[in-house]
Order: sequence, then structure tokens, then C-alpha cells
Amino acid sequence: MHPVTGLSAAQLADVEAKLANVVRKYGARLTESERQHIRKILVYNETMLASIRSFRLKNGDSPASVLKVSFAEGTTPKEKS
Amino acid sequence: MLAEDVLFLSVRELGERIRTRKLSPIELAESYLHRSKRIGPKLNAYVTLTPELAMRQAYAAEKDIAGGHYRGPLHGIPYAAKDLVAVQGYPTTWGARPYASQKFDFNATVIERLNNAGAVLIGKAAMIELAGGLGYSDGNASLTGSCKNPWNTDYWTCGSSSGSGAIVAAGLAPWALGSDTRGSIICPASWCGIAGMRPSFGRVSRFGAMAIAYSMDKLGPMARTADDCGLVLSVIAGHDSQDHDSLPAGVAEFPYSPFITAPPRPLRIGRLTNVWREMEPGLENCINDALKVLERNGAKISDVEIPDAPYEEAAELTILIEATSAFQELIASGRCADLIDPVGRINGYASMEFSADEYLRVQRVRTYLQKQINKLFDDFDVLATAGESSAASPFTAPPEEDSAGPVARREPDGISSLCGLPALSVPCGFSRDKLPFGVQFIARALNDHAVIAAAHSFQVHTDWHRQRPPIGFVDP
Repeated sequence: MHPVTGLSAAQLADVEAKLANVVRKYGARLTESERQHIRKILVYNETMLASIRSFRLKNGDSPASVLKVSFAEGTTPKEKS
Repeated sequence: MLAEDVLFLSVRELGERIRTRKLSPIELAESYLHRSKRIGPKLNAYVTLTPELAMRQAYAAEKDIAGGHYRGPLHGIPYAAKDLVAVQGYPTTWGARPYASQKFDFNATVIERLNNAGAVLIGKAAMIELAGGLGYSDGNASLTGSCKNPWNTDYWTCGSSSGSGAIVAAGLAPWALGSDTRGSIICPASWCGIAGMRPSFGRVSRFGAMAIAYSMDKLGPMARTADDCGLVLSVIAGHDSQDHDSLPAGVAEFPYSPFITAPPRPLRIGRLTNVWREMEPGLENCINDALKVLERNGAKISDVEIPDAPYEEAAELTILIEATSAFQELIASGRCADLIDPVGRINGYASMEFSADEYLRVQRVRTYLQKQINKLFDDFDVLATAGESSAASPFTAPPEEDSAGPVARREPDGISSLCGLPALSVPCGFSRDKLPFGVQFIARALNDHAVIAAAHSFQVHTDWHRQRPPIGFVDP
């Protein structure tokens, strides 16, 4: 566990991989100071993700984002069927 | 011009005078415009004033009402709209330099509804750039500069509905439209000493409004009283097939009167005891005093804790990931470099590294959290806590870093926004620096009447909402 960030070595490796990918794609736009700022943001994001990953889920636990089926305006689903 | 006392009346009081033809919509619009032109720039409260449109609408309202065609409580009533809703023919800047000259050739649904109700738009309110969608660190992150708090211009209004908060608090309009993804109505309402309501998710159409987080964005009223919030919501709520997340017809509408809002039994209020990491001295006493007022008038108060779970993490991650999709073009093009805030310029690059699996996992956890919070409302009609953990912060305060320190995982805005719950903040006292404190009420999704009932009951027995900022130091 990292003494400052509280992240594991694997999580910190994830952060570095993500930072490398940002630099690969957008490095020409970023100053060194901005790259360091992005690393800090990625560490924070990883901390939040760790909380979420530690939450136990079962196969049937569905996401809050769902497709809502639609039907013609002015009709009810029953009328449509 | 009308006297200042008139300009600080509630929407209900102004509406009654207009209905009975004791007050002219033309004179009212002229007076608010005059005051807005004079004081608005000193607060950086507006992006654009719309005097031609306002006077056209005010003349039409006067003629309609004289002809016996009174349309309802907002007919002839001036208002301002946060500059993230499209108004045909006027700039809609989203508070951000990359969109400074943006115009739409249509009205947002909410503007159409207000037009149909005969309301009078006097201007587009200042806001934090992109409503903070790509992150920001202080109140300066706005196309129009830092929005100043009418109670003390050395202090910020909070955001992102900063202009809407300042406009109502300074008596530049009787109400303003705000938006709230996670606290952007509740915080400025609290800091500016006004009422601000975040309706249930899906009740007010967002078609024509800038998107930040599709599953969390809401539009809502900021006004002098909870009752006014109910009046405005009754006009702007309703199903809209153009908003994917609009509640169905028959559910989205919000029929309102203070009489139908009064609960049939004593209001059961849960005082939240574990949501803030720390509170400004004096604030907790104000909240307790506010709840005592409600208790003396029949409410049942008991303490309640939010279970420990990653609410804030889920809310923050949902916003980061959905905002990255919403502003994908801005980020990919590199035009995010034109944003004012250093966080906003780079945050999108970091957020692009989230995976689909991570987003879905957050949303699966969110379903569980929603059920957990919903259960709390088996025992309570509303939960109550501070609108914000402090009064307004000075502009001299160091910039806030989103990425510093541990996550405050039970802050009420994260919880209620993540779960689509209605919330309403009203003023309940002052800090040692004479800046307003707010108390907020949160209810089960779709029980918007409960938050209005609690806040209205409080305001019937107190006069914090009648206090006015010492505007003389802004407008000597």
C-alpha cells in the first residue's frame, strides 16, 4: 500500500498506464505541470474506483442506466400491443 | 420605477397583484430591468439582458390580462434563466469561452412552457463554465468572472447557478431558473439566502439545456420562498418526449397549492447526523433551531444516519464519465484549453481513461444505493440537514482541489443527486460574518410536495426569507 495515496502497487500501475495513454494521445497539448496534475487526478479517480470495486455485486444486479422502450405519443403500451 | 419593497415581494404576492390589476406587468418588467442594469454588472450576475424580449412579453401580458385572459401564477412575472438553456435568437454561452458566441434557433422546452404561461424573461444568468461539468476549483471559472454574493461582495455565491442565486438575492428578479447536477441549486440558494429547489429527476424537461451528466441533470426554481418554488414547478414540470429521461405523462406533472401540499399527518423529519465532515460554528445550532420550529408546529423529529456506502464516489464517477461523453468534442478537439479553470482544461483527458466496465459497475452499485436510501423514507417524509456545510466562502480562500484528501462519501448533494431525490434549501440564520445559512429538506423520489411542505411550514413561522442583503454597499 502506498503511504500517501493508499493505493496498492497494482492500482498505482493502473494509474501510470492511464497516464501513459493520456500522454500518448494528448501529450503534445500538455505541459509537464499539467501532466503531473493529471496524475494526481488519476490517483484520486483510482481511489474512488477502488471503493466501487470493493462493493460486492451479484450477476443479476443491473445498472441504473437502462433503455426505456418507447411507444407512439398519445397511446399507452396496452393500446399499442 | 416601483419601490424596492415591491421588487422583493414573492412570486405569489406579485402574481396576485397582477391578477387583480393592481400591478402592471410593464411597470414590473421595467423596474426589474432598470435594477438589473444598475446592480447586475456589479455582481457579475448576468451574461445577457433581454430587454426587447422582456418588454414584448410584458406588453403582451398586460394586454391579455386586461382582456380577461389571465393564464396563471407566472403571467406577467419576470424571471432570469441560467445561461445553459436555449433561448431562440439570444446567445447561450454555457458560461464558457469556447461557446461565447453560441446561438440556438429554438427554445428549450422549459422556456416554451414559461412562454405559454406568460412569464417575462429579463435575462440569461451567469454560471460557472459548463456548470462545472469538467471540474473547477473556484468561483472565477466563469465567462463573466466571479459572481459576487449580494450579502457581501467579497464572498462568492457558490455555483454553478451562481447568477441565478445573486439575481434573486439582490432583488433583480423574483425568481430564476437554475440547474443542478450535484448541488448547483442547493449550494447557491444556501449561500445567497434564498429558496432553491432541485425537483425529482425527470420532472422538468432538459430538452434544449446543456447536458453534463445525462442521468443526473435537473432544472429547477430559485426564488424567495418554498411556496414560490412550488408555483414555478407547477408550470415547468411535465412530460416531454424530447427528453429521454422525462417522467411519463401523468407522473411528471406537478399540481400545486400549499393546501394540497400540507401532509395529512404530522410531518416525520429525520435529522441527518453523519453527512458532513465538519460544519461552520453556529450552523448546527441554526439547523437545530429550525427543526425545533417545525417540532413546535407538529412535526416529529428524530435523528437518522446515512449508512456507510460509496455514495459520493458513485456520484462523482457518474458525473465525470457522463460529462466526458457530453463534452467529448470539446475535449478531443483541444478547445477545452480555452476554459478558464486549470482543472477544466485537463480533467477530460483523465476521464477519457475510464472504461465501459467501470461505468457499468458504478451504475450497478448505484442501483443498490438507491434502494438503500429509498428504505430510509419508510420512516421519514423528509430528511433535514444544512444546505451547505458553511456560509459563503471569501474570494481570498485558496482554490479547492477536487483531487485532495479522502472522499467525503456521505455529503447530501451526492446522495440525493445520485438517487434523483427532490431537495429544497431555505434560509435559516446567519453566520458570525452576517452571511446566510440554509436548511435543506430531502424527500423520496417523486415526493416533491414533501420538501415544499416542510420548507413552507418553516417559512410560515419564521422570517429569515424576508431578510434582505445590505444592497446599499453594492448600489450606493
